[in-house]
Order: sequence, then structure tokens, then C-alpha cells
Amino acid sequence: MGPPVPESRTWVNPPKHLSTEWLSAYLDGVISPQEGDVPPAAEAHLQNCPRCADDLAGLDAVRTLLRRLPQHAPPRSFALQDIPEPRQVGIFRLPRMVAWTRAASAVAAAVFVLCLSLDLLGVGDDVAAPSAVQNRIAAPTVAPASVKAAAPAVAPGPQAATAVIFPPSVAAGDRDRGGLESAGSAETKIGTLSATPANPVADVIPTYRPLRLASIVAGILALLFLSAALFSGRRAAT
Amino acid sequence: MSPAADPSAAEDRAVEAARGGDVAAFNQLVQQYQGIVYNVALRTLGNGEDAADVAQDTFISAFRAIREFRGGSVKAWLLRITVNASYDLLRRRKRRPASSLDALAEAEDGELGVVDRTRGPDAAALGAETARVIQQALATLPDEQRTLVVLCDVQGLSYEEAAATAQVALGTVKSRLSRARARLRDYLAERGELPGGLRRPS
Repeated sequence: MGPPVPESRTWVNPPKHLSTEWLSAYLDGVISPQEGDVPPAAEAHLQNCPRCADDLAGLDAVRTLLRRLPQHAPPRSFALQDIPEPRQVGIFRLPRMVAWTRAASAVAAAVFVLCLSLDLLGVGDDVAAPSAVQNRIAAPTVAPASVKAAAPAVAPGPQAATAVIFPPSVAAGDRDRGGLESAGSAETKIGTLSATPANPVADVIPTYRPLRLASIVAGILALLFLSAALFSGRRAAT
Repeated sequence: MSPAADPSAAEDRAVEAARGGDVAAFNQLVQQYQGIVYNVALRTLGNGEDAADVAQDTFISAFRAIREFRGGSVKAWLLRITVNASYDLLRRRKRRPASSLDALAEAEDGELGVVDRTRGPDAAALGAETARVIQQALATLPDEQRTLVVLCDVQGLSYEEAAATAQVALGTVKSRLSRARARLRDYLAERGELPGGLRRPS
């Protein structure tokens, strides 16, 4: 119960009469000992004070009228099968679809961030190293060209990350293994890859490192699930 | 008492099943409470069409939010949603020029369809003219006073149920209800709807 407000007092002074709030509560039989006055004194007052008796009678009359207001029958049933059909899409209930697409986009986004950061940290280098070495033979002069050619084909991969494949030290160390020939083949490989990924040249595959590939796939999935979640969320809200 | 005969146990089971997505179980609650939900909206809004919209919205929102229902009175929970939805509609309506708060007053004769005389605290319902004047009087009250007088006097809720519905303290129920009754008394006495001389002397 809140702090007492002036009107919640039993007595209104001056002159000494019962407050409307007290009378209203008295009418409902909810006067409690905490009200600050014992009912006998108030009841004795009601017997002798025409003003308070009238006040109470008026409140009682109003309450009686309100209690007798007609109750109207609802114009129709509000049971939930009356919801328009668009809320159901086949066996996929929309609210459920919103939930799972949201969850799926969150998971895919997490995988995307994880794979991309592992990739950027160079975790995948060890795995990719044996075959990637062949690409690293590319001389520093050729390297920037390869990077440029590779970047658009690989799509959202940051260029800075792609450049890590060609550390100048490694490239310089490998130069005596016939840089010119390898440089040429590296360029062809990248060229063929972007054109026809199904090229049977075996050592082309490691050019795409698994982590980067995974992060790209996860990123695309995250975007797809997110748009599905937004779409179904809007459908469910209407 | 067997579990099947206990209405509150049946209600708890319906809530539990509805939490799991059982629409049929939820509809038992709709069946049970749609009368009071509709009538609270009707007396708050004064308009049958709006009241039906609010009632339908109440049950749709309730079904979606049933996992957030923390137990306690289902009636108070549903009516809280009804009252809030009604306030939203009143606010939207205030932005529009035409007010239909007393449309019910004009329609009280029965345009709203069947008057269900078996429900409500007092089965002996009023005549149409008196009901019309009372609805007009209700429309003059501030929203929070009207809500409590509708809950307590028109629908017969206890102070505790009304407090849970309006989310206010018992003392607030008491004071708002008394102010609403006093205002209605003055309004109705001026229009000769109260037995002779029942006005607070000024």
C-alpha cells in the first residue's frame, strides 16, 4: 500500500466528515484497521451526519447502476482458428520459422567470424603450406598481379588477407627454384580457376584455403538466413 | 475435490498446454474469458467494432506472450492486455478528429446485438435509456478512473484483481474508484438518473 494521500484519510477537516474515499471503500467492505479509524466511530458518525449518509447513499446508488449495466454478448468468437490463414505456411508455422531462421543466421554469422579470424590469423597456413609453396614461388613482381586476379574471384575476402599468401621472404627464398616458369603457371592457374572451377588440374584446389572457403560460405548463409528471418518476421507481425 | 472438477486446475492445465503451442487448449481460455474481455473493451472504448478488434488482438497477443505469463490470475493477465490495447486505441483515436467514445451510448438499444443478461454482477439489467446515460458518463472520466470503475463495478472484480489488472497499488484502486464514483454520481444526479437528492452537498 502506498503512502497516505490527503484524500485517503477517513475524516475530512474542517468540518469533520468522512472522506469520499473512505465511504467508497466502506461501501465495498474493504475498510481495514490500518485506515486510521475504527469502524464503530465512523458508523456512529454516519448515523448522525446527514451529509455523510447522503454521500454514502449516492456512491451506493452509482455502484448499483454500474453493476446493472448490461453485459453484451461478443459479436463473434475470438478463438484463434479465426486468425487469417497467412499466419500458417504449410507445415512451417511462421513464429517457428522466424525462430529457426534467426538462430541459423546467428550460427552462420558466428562461423563466418570464427573462420575469417582464424584465416586472418594464419591458422590455415600450415594446412595449405605444402601445395601453396608452389604458388609462392611467384616472384614479387608477379605477386601483386596474381592477388588482383584472385581477389575478385574469391569474392568478399579482404585483399590484405590475400596478400599474406605471398610473403616476400618466402617468395625470395624460393626464387632459385625456377621463378619464371612457376610464375607463369601460377597466373594461368588463377585464370583457369575463376573461369572454370571444375578444372581437373589437381594442385589448383589448394589455392582456395579451406578456412577462407568456409568463411565465405558461412557469410553467404548468414545473409540468406537473416533475410529469411526478416521476411518471415514481417509476415508474422502482420 | 477431483482435479477435473477444479476450474483453476483445469485453467492451469490449459495454460501449460498453450505454452507448448496447443491452440485448442488456449481456446478454452478464450472461451472462458472472451465475454469479460469484450465487455471491458466495450465499456472502455464505447464502440462495439473497436471492442471486438481489441478483444481479438488481446487473445492473439496473449497466445504469443503466453510463455511470459508468470502465473497468478489468468483473468487479470488477459484484462491487463485488454486495457493496454484499449489505451493504445484511444491514443490513436485522439489523433483523429472524430471521437466515437460514446458511440455505444447511441447504440445501447441493442444495435450491438444480443444483450447477455445472464452475465455480470447484477442480472437485473438497466433500461436502455439509463444505460445510454451511464455510458456517456463513463466517457467523461479520465482513462485510469474509467478503467477501475469498469473493472470493479461493471465487471465485479475485487480490489486485488483490479490492482493486478491495472498494475497499481490497492490504495490507488481505492482512491481512483472513489473519485470515479463521485464524478459519475454528480454527472448522473444532474441528469436525474439518481434517486432524489443524492448529491454531495457543495
